[in-house]
Amino acid sequence: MALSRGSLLFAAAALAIVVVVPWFVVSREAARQDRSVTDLLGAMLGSGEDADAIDPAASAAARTFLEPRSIGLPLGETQPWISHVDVVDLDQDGLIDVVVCDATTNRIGWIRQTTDGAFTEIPVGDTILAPAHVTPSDVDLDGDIDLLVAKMGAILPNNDRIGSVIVLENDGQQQFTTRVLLDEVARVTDVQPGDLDGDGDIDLAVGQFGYDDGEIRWMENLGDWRFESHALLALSGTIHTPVADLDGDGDLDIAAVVSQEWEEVYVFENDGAGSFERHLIYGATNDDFGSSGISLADLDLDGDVDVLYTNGDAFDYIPPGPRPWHGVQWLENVGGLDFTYRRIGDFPGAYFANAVDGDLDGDLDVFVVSAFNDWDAPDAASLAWFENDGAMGFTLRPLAIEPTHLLALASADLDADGWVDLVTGAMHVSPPFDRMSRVTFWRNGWNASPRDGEGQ
Amino acid sequence: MGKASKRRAQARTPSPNARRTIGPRARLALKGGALLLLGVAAAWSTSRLLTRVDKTPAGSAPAAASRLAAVPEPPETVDALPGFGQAVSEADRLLRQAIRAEAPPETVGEMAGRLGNLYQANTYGALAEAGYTLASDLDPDNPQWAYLLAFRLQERGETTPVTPLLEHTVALDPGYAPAWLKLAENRFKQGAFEPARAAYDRRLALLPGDPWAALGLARLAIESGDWAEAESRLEGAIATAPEFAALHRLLAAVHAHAGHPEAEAEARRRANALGRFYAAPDPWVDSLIAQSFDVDWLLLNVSRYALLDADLSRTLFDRARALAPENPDVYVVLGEHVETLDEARRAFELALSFDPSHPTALARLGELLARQGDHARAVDLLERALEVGAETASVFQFLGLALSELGRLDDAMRALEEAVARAPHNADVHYSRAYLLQRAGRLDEAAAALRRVLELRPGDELASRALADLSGG
Repeated sequence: MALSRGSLLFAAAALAIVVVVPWFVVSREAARQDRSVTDLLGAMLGSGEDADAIDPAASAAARTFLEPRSIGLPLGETQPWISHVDVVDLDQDGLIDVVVCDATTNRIGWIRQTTDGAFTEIPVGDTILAPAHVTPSDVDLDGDIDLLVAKMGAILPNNDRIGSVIVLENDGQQQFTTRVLLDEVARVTDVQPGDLDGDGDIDLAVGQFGYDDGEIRWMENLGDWRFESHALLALSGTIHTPVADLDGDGDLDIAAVVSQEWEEVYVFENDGAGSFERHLIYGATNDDFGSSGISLADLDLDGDVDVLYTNGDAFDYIPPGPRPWHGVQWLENVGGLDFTYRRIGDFPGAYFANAVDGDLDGDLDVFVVSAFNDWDAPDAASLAWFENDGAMGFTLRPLAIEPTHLLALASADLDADGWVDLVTGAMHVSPPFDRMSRVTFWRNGWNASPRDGEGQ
Repeated sequence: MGKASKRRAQARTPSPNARRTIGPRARLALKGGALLLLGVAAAWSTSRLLTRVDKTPAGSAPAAASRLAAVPEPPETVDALPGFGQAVSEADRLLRQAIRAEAPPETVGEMAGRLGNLYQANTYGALAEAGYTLASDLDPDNPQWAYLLAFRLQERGETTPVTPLLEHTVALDPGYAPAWLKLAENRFKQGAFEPARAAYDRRLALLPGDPWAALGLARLAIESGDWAEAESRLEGAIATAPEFAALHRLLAAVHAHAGHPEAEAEARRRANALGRFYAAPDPWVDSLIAQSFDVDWLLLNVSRYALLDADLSRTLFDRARALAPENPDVYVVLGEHVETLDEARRAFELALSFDPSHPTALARLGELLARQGDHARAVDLLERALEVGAETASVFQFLGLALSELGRLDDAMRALEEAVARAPHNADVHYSRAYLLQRAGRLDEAAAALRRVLELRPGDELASRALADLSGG
């Protein structure tokens, strides 16, 4: 149908009015408010959003994301002090097991998974006073998995030289012989394996928290279970010493988080032959920052290794409790051993974090446990995740308010359903003692929990 | 289509001659009217949309809108702390009033900063940050706002944005030594060693012999491989501040590097005898705690500052008592910080007068009475402490010791076993157990308990001597 010239003119005039009149009104108002027109338009169009709208993802996540289930030994008469958990197929039967450090019984526990999905805990090796960290590794390269143990000697503050580096040597039938590789040193908090001098055997990176006296060393494997120590740093408060190729040159470097009054993260750059150069890659000037742990992961999936870092330690507060600055951050590896600090978010009592694609959307989210939240508050979370929006923007989503005092976290697809599950360990060093746990398996039920409007 | 529908359709359809009955002028008038109506509608709709963003009262200056938008909204939990809600409401109201009244920027900035102080003192860090941001924008000549904003940022681990704020602070107030120290540490931790050294030097110039600056300069020397300078710095600082344990501790590391184990051991021994690291005084920050309405936080800081700044510690305690004069926790803390056992006993008794079932007060008073030899009353209090949930190793330990003095050795032993179960790594508990075992004539077990003490605390003189006596006997 053809339109007359008059009708076309009328339509054009109407269109002009619809555009020009609002523009004139907005321009005038923008001038009055000393703002740009685009700023004001943005405010007008954005002001209709409901900031309090319920996030469907959050509600779904809160509903059934992770189903907790106690595994291993039941609660005993005393408060559980689980200082570390890790996941490994220790007996190489195709099922992922859990290994734990129990600082109450002073044992390393192997929580073996059987084909029916049951978990049974078996103490392994001899008594080890206050084990702080257990790392599975074929230290002697004989094909089975040994257990490296960092022995603190005492969990609570102590300056005495009561730490040890111990290996529980596996005979291939999961019978373990205790070998003490280093003894009578400041409390040991981490032992990590790696061929640090390029000679084909497994050396060790050792972190010693001590209390006021501590240090970092690497132990060169001389063969026949003999190791020679090389000092790297003489500061107290080292918690973790993970090993990875942080500068991308093909050899293994050592990262370390040093807490106490220092609150620093170091990288010891390896020249490939076991000669290390120290780099201070980050330091907080808050001497009460409360560094509590680091783990290494390519969080932004750009091909290099970043540092995931929690601060929420409150072991020596009376009473133990959170601080407003507790939370999670990552140190982005920008190359050349330069790292950029990026805060992920606040989380009171944050103790350890893992990078896991929990929702299988292709990016890495951050799961974090709290050992020192304000447990008297009804909404104090002990487990939460920061959901990654794919552009390294993170949104905190609490997952559990009990059990409380979660200090240790590990992740793996334990039930082989394609979704990464979690394992936590609790250390109940302070009240309240009404929501206790020891070791908890958190089955990932994301796939069984369709998100509103997405129908996964 | 039914008949009725057809009739409605016909009614809506103009007759073929209808257009011809309206002349060109009338059509023009109609179109003009329609356009006019459209214009009015567009203007009205736009104005309606604008009212959703324009919260500035009529007559306010344009800049006021953005300033009002920058004022943080009080938190929903503002009333969780008695008195805090009222204080925040008043500070917030006055700030907004000043903005609307177009008060001078520095006045508004000052008020925003004070609101930030209130939030910071009550552990609302993000809101404090918003207040300080506004304050430092509007009152840029006041060094406190930039400094407190920097302090808040560094609290949560930031370093890069902190540097310019600290540089601005020291430019405005070069005499504020804590800012130089913060700047020096910030630059050191960013690997900017020369600017760090310059800032440490400025602090030392303000506070000759300052141990924190000396410690930092020694660390810088170590980073640059100059261990001799580090040693010299540390020894010089120890001469003026021998009580600062961190100097001795770093000196031990220097001696270790030089391969001097005896000097290392001696430095460590001195450090361990002196105690722990403590932060340098920072009056602009420390004094803010006195604005806290959180009695628990105040009491925590009473303990923290008891040795560092006795006056501040007293101020904080007085504020806590003024805020909550009938809170038994106040008197428990008092009992833990007074100088004599009698004063402590009176404080714990006062706490129990407000809450006869207060677990900590019962426990502390029971332990104190056990030490003073009033064993019967100690047992009564400690058993009541256990009934109300204070099942700590310490309560069981002192209960066991008091029971043993009353001759109830079996009960005492059971209590000590409970203490050991709760604190298996506590050497004192094992020592007490050894003492009871010895009294009960169970000498082998006593020796084993003493050996456990020595495992936990190698070299413990009392345990060594007791073990030697047992072996000799």
